[in-house]
Amino acid sequence: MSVNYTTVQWNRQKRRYDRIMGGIIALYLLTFTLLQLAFYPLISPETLIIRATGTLAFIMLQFILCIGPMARLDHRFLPLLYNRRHLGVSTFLIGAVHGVFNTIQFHSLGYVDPIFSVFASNTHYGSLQDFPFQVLGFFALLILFLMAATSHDFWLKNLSPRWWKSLHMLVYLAYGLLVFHVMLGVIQLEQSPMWIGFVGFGLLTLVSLHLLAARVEKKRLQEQMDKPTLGEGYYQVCSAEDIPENRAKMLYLEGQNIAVFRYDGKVSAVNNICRHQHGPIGEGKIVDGCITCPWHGYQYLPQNGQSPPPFTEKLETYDVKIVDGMVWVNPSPYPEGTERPAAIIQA
Amino acid sequence: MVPELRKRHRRIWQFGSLFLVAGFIAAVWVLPQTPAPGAKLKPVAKLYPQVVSTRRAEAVVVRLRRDEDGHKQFEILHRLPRKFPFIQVSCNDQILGTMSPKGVDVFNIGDSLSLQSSYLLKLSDPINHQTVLKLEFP
Repeated sequence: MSVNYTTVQWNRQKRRYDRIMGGIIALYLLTFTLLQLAFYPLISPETLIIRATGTLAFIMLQFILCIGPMARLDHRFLPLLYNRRHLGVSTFLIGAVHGVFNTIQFHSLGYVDPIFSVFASNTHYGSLQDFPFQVLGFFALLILFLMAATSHDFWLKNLSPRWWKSLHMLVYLAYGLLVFHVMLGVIQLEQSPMWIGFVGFGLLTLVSLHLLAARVEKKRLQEQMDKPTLGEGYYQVCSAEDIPENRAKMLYLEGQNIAVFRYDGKVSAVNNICRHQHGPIGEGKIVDGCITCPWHGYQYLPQNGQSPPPFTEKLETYDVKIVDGMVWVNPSPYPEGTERPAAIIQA
Repeated sequence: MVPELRKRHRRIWQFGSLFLVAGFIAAVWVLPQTPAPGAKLKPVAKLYPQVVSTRRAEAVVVRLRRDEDGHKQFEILHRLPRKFPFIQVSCNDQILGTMSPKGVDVFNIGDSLSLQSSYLLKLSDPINHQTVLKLEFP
């Protein structure tokens, strides 16, 4: 969170995240290299690099796409979400090494331009078995490049969150292209049951996680629509005791996405959508008196939805009250940054 | 995440998962029925003593060899340019393996192939679907 653009807004959490990520990447590359040398002692350095970076980029993309649903299903995975964009940019860079080495190895010594050769050397576009799988990898890499290049907040601000998010949802298309890049490429060449099992397991895990998270979310929204009302537009949330200290309950009522936070013996409600990248504020927690978005650490004061100075982001606020230990919220929003009295939890 | 976006994610995965799983199954379905060359990558240490015939073409010399029991093998000496970094070797449409970068490869051919009298040895680049060389024996 910053009032000015900086290349990377480093903090302790991000450094730790990147150190762990770098360590795991190095460990993978080392292990993979040793295994390849053991099983294929005559392997050339170029082929080794192509294989190591290709498998690593695919695994990393798979993992990145698992983080979202895992964090929605179990909040213990939320720390993985926090710095996901560094993981994404790293995936692109590793994938780019794979793509560049492949292009040099297989297309650079002919008579035509190497990029043209990627598209024209194999023209069996009508055959599934002989399909030019490298073209699929090329387009997947292009999408990852666009995402990495626009990952900075500068682009989020200038493209608008709506268009930025739409662009970044192309990652699902990139994943699909890569699945077929692998299935119509190395799998057709080597026919290895291990690689087929590896891709199949990853695919099923990812699809299951996303569908399960979507189902849980839909069920939660359905339950909220059946909430009892108190009159004067108030809807029941839950018992005050059911909200953990410095955490929130999220609700979707009358078109409003609301997060009800409990802190210091009080309860306040703000809009659940972060102004940065539309992250779920309610999945975050209160740190140093401020609601902190789990995605990128944007902060807001719970009683008025305002970011602490010098920041200018603001959220809508809502009226809350506590009756007989039950928390009730009125989903009629107040303008962004409007101070509303917190409801006091009686001891 | 705003509910509209959540809904878009849900729709993408509901339809996308069907497409991905169907594509995965189709890709497995069309796998070639030839044996995988990976298992035959180990170099053969022993050369059979008798040279049945020799063919030379471009930067390749291929010898068809035989031992006293009638087993046969191809010895391939090559200095192919790196335009073809990955070359698959097949004989009468059966994949024997892939060529190594060291310049000398030996591929034993199975008993059933050894019984045949003529062979079409093919070197190809399966990634770009190009035939590098075809040689007929004897």
